[in-house]
Amino acid sequence: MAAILVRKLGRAALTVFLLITFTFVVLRLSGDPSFHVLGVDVDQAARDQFRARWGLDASILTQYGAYLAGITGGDFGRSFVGARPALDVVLERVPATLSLMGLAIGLAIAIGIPAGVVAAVYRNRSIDRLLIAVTAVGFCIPTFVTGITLILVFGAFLQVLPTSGGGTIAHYVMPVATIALADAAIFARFTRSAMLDVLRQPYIRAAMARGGSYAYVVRHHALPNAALPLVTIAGLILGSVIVGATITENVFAWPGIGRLLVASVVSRDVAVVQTIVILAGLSMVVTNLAVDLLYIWLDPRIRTRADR
Amino acid sequence: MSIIRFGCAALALALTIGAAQAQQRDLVVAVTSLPKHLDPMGANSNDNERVSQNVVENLIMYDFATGKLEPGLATAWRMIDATTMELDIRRDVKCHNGEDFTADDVAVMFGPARYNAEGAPGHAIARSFLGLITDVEATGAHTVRIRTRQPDPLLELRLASWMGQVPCADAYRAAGSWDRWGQSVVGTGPFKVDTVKQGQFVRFAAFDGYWGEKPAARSFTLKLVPETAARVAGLLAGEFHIITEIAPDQFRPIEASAAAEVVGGPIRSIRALVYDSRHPILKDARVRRALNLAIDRKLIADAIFASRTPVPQGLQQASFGDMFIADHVATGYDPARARTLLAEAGYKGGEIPYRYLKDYYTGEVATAQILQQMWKAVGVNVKLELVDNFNQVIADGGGISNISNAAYYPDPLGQLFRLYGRGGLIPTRKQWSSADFDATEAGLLSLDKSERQAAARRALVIYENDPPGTYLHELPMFYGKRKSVTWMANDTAFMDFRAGGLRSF
Repeated sequence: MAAILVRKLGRAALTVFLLITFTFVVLRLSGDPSFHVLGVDVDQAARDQFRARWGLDASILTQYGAYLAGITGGDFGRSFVGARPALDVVLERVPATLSLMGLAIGLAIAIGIPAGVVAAVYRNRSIDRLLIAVTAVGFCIPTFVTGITLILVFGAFLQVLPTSGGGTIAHYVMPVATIALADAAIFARFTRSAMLDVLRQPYIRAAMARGGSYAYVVRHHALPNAALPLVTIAGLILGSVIVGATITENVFAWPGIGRLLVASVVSRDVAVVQTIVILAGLSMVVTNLAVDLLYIWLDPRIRTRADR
Repeated sequence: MSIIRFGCAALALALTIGAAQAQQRDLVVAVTSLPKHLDPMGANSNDNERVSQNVVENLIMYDFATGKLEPGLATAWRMIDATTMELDIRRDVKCHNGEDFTADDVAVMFGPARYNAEGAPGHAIARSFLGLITDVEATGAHTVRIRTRQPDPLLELRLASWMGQVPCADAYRAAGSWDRWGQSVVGTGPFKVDTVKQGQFVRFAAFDGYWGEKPAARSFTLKLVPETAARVAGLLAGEFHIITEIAPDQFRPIEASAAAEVVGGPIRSIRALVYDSRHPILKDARVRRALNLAIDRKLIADAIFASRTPVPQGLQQASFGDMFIADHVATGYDPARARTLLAEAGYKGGEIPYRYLKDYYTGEVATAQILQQMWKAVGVNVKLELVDNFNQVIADGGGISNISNAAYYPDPLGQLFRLYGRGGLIPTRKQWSSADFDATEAGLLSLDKSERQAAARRALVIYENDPPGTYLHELPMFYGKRKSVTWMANDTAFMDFRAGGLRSF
C-alpha cells in the first residue's frame, strides 16, 4: 500500500515538473509579449527596453532556471499588468470559478446520476429513449452555443437575466445551466452504461432471488457496484474544475480563472498563464491521485492485490 | 404670475434632480480588452488611448468637433523664438490627489524621470511623438518653456495629441514603480482612477475638484466582455450603455433594436499593406506597383465594411486640413497596367508570401483572401500564410504583411513620415527605406506652409512610385450605443466622456 502511494506521488511530481517545463517552453516560443503589452506600432527600442525590464532578453535556459528557483520559493513571477505577483492575480479568481463549478457539477450530478439510473432501470422503454435523446443533445451541443443561445433568449429577448459578469445569484443561472447541461449528460450516459453492466451480473439475480424488492436491489447492490466508473468520470470533471469552465466563463464574462486564462494568453502575460496551467495541472494530478486512492477503498480486489 | 413662477420653479427643481440623478450613474462600456497601463506613455494601443484625456489632460486641447486647438492645462502659449515655446499654466488646477498642478509637473513629467532620457520608462514609446523636444523648463510656478531641436511646425499639435498628456509629478514619484503607476495614474482630468480589477473592469470616478465643466457621468466603467454576442445582448438588454469593436456583420441586430444604434466610422488611421523590399521579387518597384494596381480597393471596403468606410486619396486623410493634398492622384484599379508592369519586370510567377493574423484587424482573413484572388487575376502568385503572432509576421523571409497607419496628429508628419521616414517603423524593421523619401523631412518640418505642402506632395508621390506598400481603406471604428446615450464618437480611439463629449445617458 505504501509502495503504491509512493509510486503514485512520484508520478504526480514528475507530471507537474513536465507540465511546468512544457508550459514555459511553449509560452516562450509563442511570440514576443511586448507586441501585446506595448502595441504593434512601437519600434524595436521600446521592445528591447521592455524585454530587458522583464528579463526576457536573457537566454531561455537562464530564464528557466530563474523561474524554477522562483517557484520553489513560492514566487510564480509577476504579471505584466501592474507587476502584481501572478499567484495573487490567479488566486483572487479562484472563488468565482469554484463557486460556479461547484454549483454546476453539483447540479449535473443531481440530475445526471438519477437520470442514468432511471434510463438503465427502464431500459428500452420510452423514458429511456427520451433520456438518451436529451443527454445526446446535451453532450453534443458545444457550451458556447448553449451559452450564447441562453444569452440571446433570457438576456436579450426576455431580459430576465443578466447577460454577463458576476456578483448576484441571477448572474449564476445561465453559466451554471450551461455547464450543468453538458456535465449532466455525461453523468447520465455513464451511469446508464455502468448500471446496465451491473444489472446483468449474477449477483443482482441472486439478490433478487433472496426476495429483495427491485428498488432495494438497485439501491443497495447495483448502485455501489456501478460507482467505480462514475468515480472515474467525477474525477475527470472535478480535476478540470480550475479551467473546465474556460469557454463558459468567456461567453458570460464570468470573473473567474477561465476568463483570466484567455485574457492572459491573448496578452501573453506569461507568468499568469504559467501559474494557471500549473494550478490546473496540480488540481488534475491531485484529483487523479484521490481517485486512485478511492478505487483502493471502494474495490477490495485492488486492496488485496496491493497487499500481496 | 405665481402659477408661472411655481411652474418654473418646479421645472428647475425637476431638471436639477434629473441632473443630479444623471450624475449618480455609472456609464458602462463593454470592451474586448482593458488598458494595460494607464499612463499614455505606458503603451501605444487603442485600449490606452480610449481613456487618455478623461484622466490625464494635455496642455493644449484638441477640439474634436472643430479640429481647432483650445486652451487646456495651459491658458496661453507663444513662440518666443523659432525653437522655444512658452506656456502659461492654468492656476486653478488640482491633481486627483488634491495637490496643485504647476509648471513643475510639466517639467518633471516631460523630464528625464518619465520621458526625456534614454532609458526613461516612457521614452522609447513616446519619442516618435515628441522626439523634437529637447528640454522642458519651469521658468516660474506657472510658466514653462519647451525647447525643440529645430523649428517644429507641429509642436502645438504634439502637445495637444496622444502622448502629450501631462500627469502629476508628486504622485508619479510616490508610486514607486512604473508598473504601479500604470494602475494608479494621477492626472487632472474630469475622471480619476477608482478601481482596477485586472481582467474584469476598470472604473473611473468623476473628480469633484476638476477645474472645468463637470462630466455628465458620476463614473464610467470599462468592463471586459470579450464575447461579441454577450456584448451585443448586454447592449440590447440595457446592461451596457456603449459597446466597442462592432463589425459590420453585427450591425443588423443592433440596428433592428428600437433602443440601440451603431455609431462611429473612419478614424485617423488607414488600413494598409507593407511590402518587404528585401524579398527577391518585391525588390523590383514595378512588381510592387503592379500589386497595387491589381487591387480594387472600393470593392474591399464595400465588401468588408458594408460601404461604411472610404478609400483614401493616397496615404493621407481629409482631417489633415491644409496639409491634405487634394490634387494628389492615388493609385487606382488598373489590372491591364498591372500585367504590363509585371511583364516589364520579368515576373515569372514566383511565390510571394503574405503573412497575416486571424482577424487582428477587422476582416483581416477575408481581406487577405480577396487580395490573393485579385493578385491571382493579374498573374501574381501570392501564398497566404496565416501565422500566430507578430514576431512571425515581421520575421525575415516575409513578403507582404498588414499594418494600420495611424495619424496620431492630423498631419503627414504624424502618419506617412512617422512610419515610413527616417527612424520610422518600416525603415527600422528594414522592410523599406528611401533616401528621396527621407529628404522630404526638411520640407515637412518647415514653418512655411507652402513648403510643407510641397514636401507632403512629394512624399505621397514617392509612396506611389516606389511603394513600401499600399493603402486599402480608412480604418473604421464602430460602437453600439443605447439611443438614450448622447455621445459622439470622434475620429480617434479616444472615447471622450468629458462634459462636451458625453452629454447625457
